[in-house]
Amino acid sequence: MSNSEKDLAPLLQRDYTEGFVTDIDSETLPPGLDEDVIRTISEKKNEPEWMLQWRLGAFKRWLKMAPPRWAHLHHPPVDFQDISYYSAPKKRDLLDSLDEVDPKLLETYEKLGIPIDEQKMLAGVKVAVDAVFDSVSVATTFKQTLLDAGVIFCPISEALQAYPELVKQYLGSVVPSADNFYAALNSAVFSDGSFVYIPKGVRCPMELSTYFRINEMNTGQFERTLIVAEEDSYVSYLEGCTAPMRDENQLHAAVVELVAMKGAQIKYSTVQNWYPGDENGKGGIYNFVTKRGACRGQGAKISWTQVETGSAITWKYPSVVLEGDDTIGEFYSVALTNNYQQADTGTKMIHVGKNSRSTIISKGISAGKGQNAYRGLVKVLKGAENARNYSQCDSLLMGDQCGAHTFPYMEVKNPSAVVEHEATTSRIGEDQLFYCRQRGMSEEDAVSMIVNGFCKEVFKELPMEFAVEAQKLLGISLEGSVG
Amino acid sequence: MTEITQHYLDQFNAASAGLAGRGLPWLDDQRQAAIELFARSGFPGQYEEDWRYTPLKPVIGKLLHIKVDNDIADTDISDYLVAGLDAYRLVFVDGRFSPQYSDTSGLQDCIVMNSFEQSVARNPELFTETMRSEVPLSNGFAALNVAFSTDGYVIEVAENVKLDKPVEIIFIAVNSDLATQPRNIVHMGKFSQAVIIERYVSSKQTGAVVNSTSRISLDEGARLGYYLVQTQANDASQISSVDVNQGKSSWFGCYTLTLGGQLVRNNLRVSLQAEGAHCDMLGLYNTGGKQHVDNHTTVVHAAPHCTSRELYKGVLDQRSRGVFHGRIKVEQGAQKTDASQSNNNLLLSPNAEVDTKPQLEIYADDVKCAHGATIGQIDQNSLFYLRSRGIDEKDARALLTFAFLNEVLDEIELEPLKQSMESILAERLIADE
Amino acid sequence: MLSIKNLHADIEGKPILKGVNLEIRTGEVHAIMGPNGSGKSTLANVLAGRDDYEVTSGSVEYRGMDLLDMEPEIRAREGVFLAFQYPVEIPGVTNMYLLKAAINSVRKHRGVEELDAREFLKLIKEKAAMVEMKQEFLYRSVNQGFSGGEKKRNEILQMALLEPHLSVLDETDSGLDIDALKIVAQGVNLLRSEQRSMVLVTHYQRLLDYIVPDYVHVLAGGRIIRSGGKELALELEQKGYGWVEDQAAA
Repeated sequence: MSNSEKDLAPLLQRDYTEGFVTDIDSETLPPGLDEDVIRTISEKKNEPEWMLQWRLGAFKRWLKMAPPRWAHLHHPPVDFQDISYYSAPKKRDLLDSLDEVDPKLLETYEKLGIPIDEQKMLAGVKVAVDAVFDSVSVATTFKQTLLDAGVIFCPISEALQAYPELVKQYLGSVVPSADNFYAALNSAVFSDGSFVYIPKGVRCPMELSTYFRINEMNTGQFERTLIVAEEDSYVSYLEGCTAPMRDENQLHAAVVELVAMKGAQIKYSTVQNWYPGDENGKGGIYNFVTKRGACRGQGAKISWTQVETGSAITWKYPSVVLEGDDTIGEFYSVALTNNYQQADTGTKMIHVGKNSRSTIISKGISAGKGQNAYRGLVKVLKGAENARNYSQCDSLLMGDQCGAHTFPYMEVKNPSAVVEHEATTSRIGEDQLFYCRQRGMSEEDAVSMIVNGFCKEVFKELPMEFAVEAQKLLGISLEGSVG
Repeated sequence: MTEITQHYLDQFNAASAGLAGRGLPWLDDQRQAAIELFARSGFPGQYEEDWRYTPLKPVIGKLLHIKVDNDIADTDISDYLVAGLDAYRLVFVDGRFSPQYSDTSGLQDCIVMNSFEQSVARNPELFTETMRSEVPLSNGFAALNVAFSTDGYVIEVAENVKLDKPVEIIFIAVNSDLATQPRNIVHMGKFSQAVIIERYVSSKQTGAVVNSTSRISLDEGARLGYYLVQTQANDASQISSVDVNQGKSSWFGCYTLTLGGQLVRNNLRVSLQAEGAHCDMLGLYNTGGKQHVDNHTTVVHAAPHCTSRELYKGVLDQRSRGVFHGRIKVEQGAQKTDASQSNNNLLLSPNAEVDTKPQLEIYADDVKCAHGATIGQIDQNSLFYLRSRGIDEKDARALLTFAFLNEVLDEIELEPLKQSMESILAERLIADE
Repeated sequence: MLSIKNLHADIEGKPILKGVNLEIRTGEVHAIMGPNGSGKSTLANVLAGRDDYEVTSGSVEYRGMDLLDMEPEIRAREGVFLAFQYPVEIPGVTNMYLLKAAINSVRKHRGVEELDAREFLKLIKEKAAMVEMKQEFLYRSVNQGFSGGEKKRNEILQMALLEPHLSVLDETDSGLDIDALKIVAQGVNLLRSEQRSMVLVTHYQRLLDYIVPDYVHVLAGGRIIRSGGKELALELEQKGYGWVEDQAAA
C-alpha cells in the first residue's frame, strides 16, 4: 500500500481541552463603541481624568485609521460595532484575600491548571499569577510576598489607583496610543492587564505570570500590560491565554509595553493557546497584538519567547528598540498553524545604540490548510556602530495544502553593522518517519520527536514550567528532550 | 491627477496620431488601454509595498520629453563597444533604431525586428503575431511603455537553431531629458540556443530616462543566456521590466550587471511553467555618489521539478543605496522544487545604505527552499592580514572588495564582457577615497 | 526464522520483485548479491515495511508471524532490523535521544522494563566502544554532518543496541573505505550468534571477505537465479553477473 502522499497533519491534531464555558453572572456592556462606552469603562474603573482623556485621544485617532492590510492573512472584515468592549463577573470589589474570589472562577482556573491558590504550584515551582477573566483581573497571588521584595505586581486598573504617577510616566511610552490601528483601539478601550515594577537592583524572587481567559460571548479582550524594570533589575514574566470553543470569531487586541533601564533584563514568555477554530475553520480568536520593549539604558536586555499554537488569526510582532549602547534584543518563536489557522508573526529589532545585538530564531510549522508567515524587520540606524543581528527562520511543512512564507526586511544605514539572515524550508520526510519506525517508534512519536527537534532552539529558552505546557500543546512527549 | 500625469497624457494626445503602427486596430487599442490605465494609476508611489524603497524622484520629478520624431542623433559608436566582443549588433540611439551602427549580417534562422515602422512595412502579419499578445500592465511604467513604444528589438530563434555568436543590443542615450520606451521581445524556439546582451549606455550628462520592457519566452529545451548591462552615466535613470516564461527543461541564465545610473530599478520576473525548467539569476551592483540601485526579482515555481538559483552581490559606497527585493513563490503542486536565493552586500561608507528583503512564499511541501542575506563590511582580519604582508590599505580594500564580487563575475561566460566589467570595477575601486 | 514465498512487489506500479523465494534459519548469514537495479534494496525495504513498495503477491513468514501484515514499528519491535543504505538525517534530535526512544519502545513491546537514564548511558557507552564510535557523536543530531563511514557505524551501533533477531544490512559496504569497512564488519561479526540471523545485501564481494556468509544468492531481474555457498561470491567476482544471468536465461 503506497501512501507516501499521506497527510501528516492529523498527527498534530489535538483536542482543545480549554474550550469549556464558565457559567457565571457577568455584567456586560452592549455591543458597540463610541465615546460613551469609553467614558463608562473609565468610570467603572474610577480612573483619573488624564487617563480618560488619553483614551479619548486614542479613540479620535483610531476613528481615522484603517486596519492594516499588508499581512499575509485573509479574513472577513471585523465589525467593531458588533463587539462588547467590557464584560466582568458580577459582585467584584477590590479583594483583600483570595478567599473572596467567586468559587466558580476558582474552579475555572483549577480546570485550566492555573494555581491561583498560593499553596499550589505550577510544575513544582512557585509562580505569582494575575488571572484576567474577560475584561477584569479576578485574582493576583503572592502580591504581598512580592511587595516585601519591593516588586509591584498587580492589575493595571489597581495600579492606576495605587501608583498613578508610575503608570502615567510609562504608559504609551513604548507603544504610543496611536501606534497602529489595533494599538489605538486598545488604548481607547483597554480594561485590564498586569502592571509590573521592579525597583533598582532587585532580582524578582519568583516568576510572574498573567493568565488571560476570554469567557463571554461576543466580547473582545483588550488587555494592557506594562512592565518596568529599573536599573540592574531582573524579571521573568509568563503569559498564557485560552478561550471557550465558539462558532463566532472573537477579537483579542492587546498591547504589551516593556521598559528596561540600564543593565536591566526582562524575559517575556508567551504560550498562546486561544481557541483556534474547528477543523473546518469555523470560530476561533482573532489575535491582533502589539508588543514592544525598549532597552533604554546601557546593557539592557529584552528577550521575547513565544509559542503560538492557538488563534484563528495571529498578527503579532514582539519588538525591541535597542536604544542604549551594548543592549541585547532576542526573539524566539514557534508558530504552529493547522487546519485553517493563519499566522503572520515575527519581530522588529531597531538598532539605535552602539554595539547593540539582536538574535532572531523563528520556527514555523504549517499543517492542514494552515498558512504561516514570518515577517521581521531588522533596522540599523546610522549611529548604531558595530550593531549585530543574526536571524534564522525555518519552516516545516506537513502536507501539500499548507503554506510557509518568509518576509524579512533588513535596512542598514551603518557600514560597521553585520546583519545576517538565513531561512530554510523542510518537511517531515517519509524517509525520516520510516527510519524512526524501523527503530521501533510509533508514527505519532516519530512526528512528535521530529517536530520537537525542529523547535528545540526555542523551547530551551522557555522557563521549565512553560516548556512543559508548550510541548504538551504540540503533542510532544517530554522525556529527556528539553535542556 | 497630478501635473506629471497630465504632462504625459498631453504628450500622448499630441503624438498618438503619428506613432508607428497607427491604424493597426489591435495596436491602437493596446495603446489606448495603456494610456487610460496610466491616467488612472499614475506612477507608483512609495506608499506601495513594492515601491517603498524606490525614490522615483529622478524619474518622475521632472517633466521629460518623450521622443516621437524619427531623427537619429549622431554619435560615436566606438565609445560604447566592448573590446573583443564579437557579436551581431543592434543599436538604438535615443530609443530609435539606428541601421547605420547595426550589423546583423550573417545572422541566420532567426527573425530580427527593430522598429515598429520598419516591421509593419516589411511584414505586418508577423509584426502583429509577435506583438499582439497581451502585455501585463503591472504599473504605470509598463503602461507608459506600451502607450508610447515605437522601437525595440524582437528576436525569434527558430527550433533547434544555435546562434553562432551572441546578439548585442546597445541602447544609447544622447540627447538630454528624453524618456525612451524600448519594447523588446525574445522568443526561443524548441531546443534553440542563444546569448543576448542588452546594454544601456549614455553620453555624459543627459539626465535621460529609459523605461524598457523585455518579454522573453523559452520553449522546451531552449537555452538563453541574457545579460542586462547598465553602465549609463550617473545622471541617467532606468526602469526595466523583464518578464520571462520558461517551458519544459529550458534554461534561462540571467545576468544583471549594474554599475551606472542615478536611479536604476530592475523588475525581473521569471515563471517556471513546465517540469525541469531551470534558471540562474546573477546580479552585481557597485554604486557610489548618490546612485540608487533597486533589484526586484520574482521567481514563480508553477510546475514540479524545477530549480532556480539566485545570487545578487552588491558593493555600496559614498551616499549610494542598494535595494534587493527577491521573492520565490512555490505554487501548490510544484513539488520537488529546489530554489535558492541569496543577497550579499558590502557597505563601504558610513552614508551608504542597504535594504534587503528576501522572501519565500511556499504552498507545496516537498520542496527545498533556502534563502539568505547578509550586510556587512570588509572583514577586518583579512584586511589586517593583507596589510601585514605589505599591501597598503587602499589596495587591500580594493582587493577584498573585488574578491567579494568575484563570485558573480566568475559566472560571466563571455570573456570580453567579463574583462570589461572587471576593468571598470578595478578602476573604480582603486580610484575610491 | 524467515520464509519468503513467491514474493512480488511493485514500486509506483512498476514490478521490481517477480517471485522471490528464500528460507533463512536461525543463526544463518545469507548474502544477497546482484547487479544494480536487480531488486536487492527493494527486498530489504519490503522486509522492513516501507510504504513506497507495494507487495502484489506472495508471503513472508517471520518467526511464525505474517510479516507483511505488520506495521514497520511492530516489525522493528519484533526484532527485524534494517541497516539503511542511506541513513537519514534528523536535525535537532540527538542520536542519544533517538537511541533511547528506540530501545525503550522495543523493550516495552517485549515486556522488559524500560531503561532509566543511568542504565541507558552505561549500555550505550559499552556499545559505542564496540563499534569504535566517539562519544561526541552520541550528542550530535542524528546523522547530521556525519561522514559516510560514521553514518554506517551509527547503523551498526543501533543494531548492537536493539539486539534484533533478524538483521538486514542494505549495502552497508557502499561508500566505505577499507578501514571503515573493517570496523563495520568487525561490529557485525561480534553480533553474529546462534540466535541471530542476518541478510547482507551487497553489490560487491569485498564485504564478504570480512563477513563470511553461510549462503550466497544472486538476485537478478527480480528473482533469485542462483544460490550457493560462499564460494559463489568468489566466482561472481571473477566472472561478473553476466555469467549467471546468461546461465539463467539459457
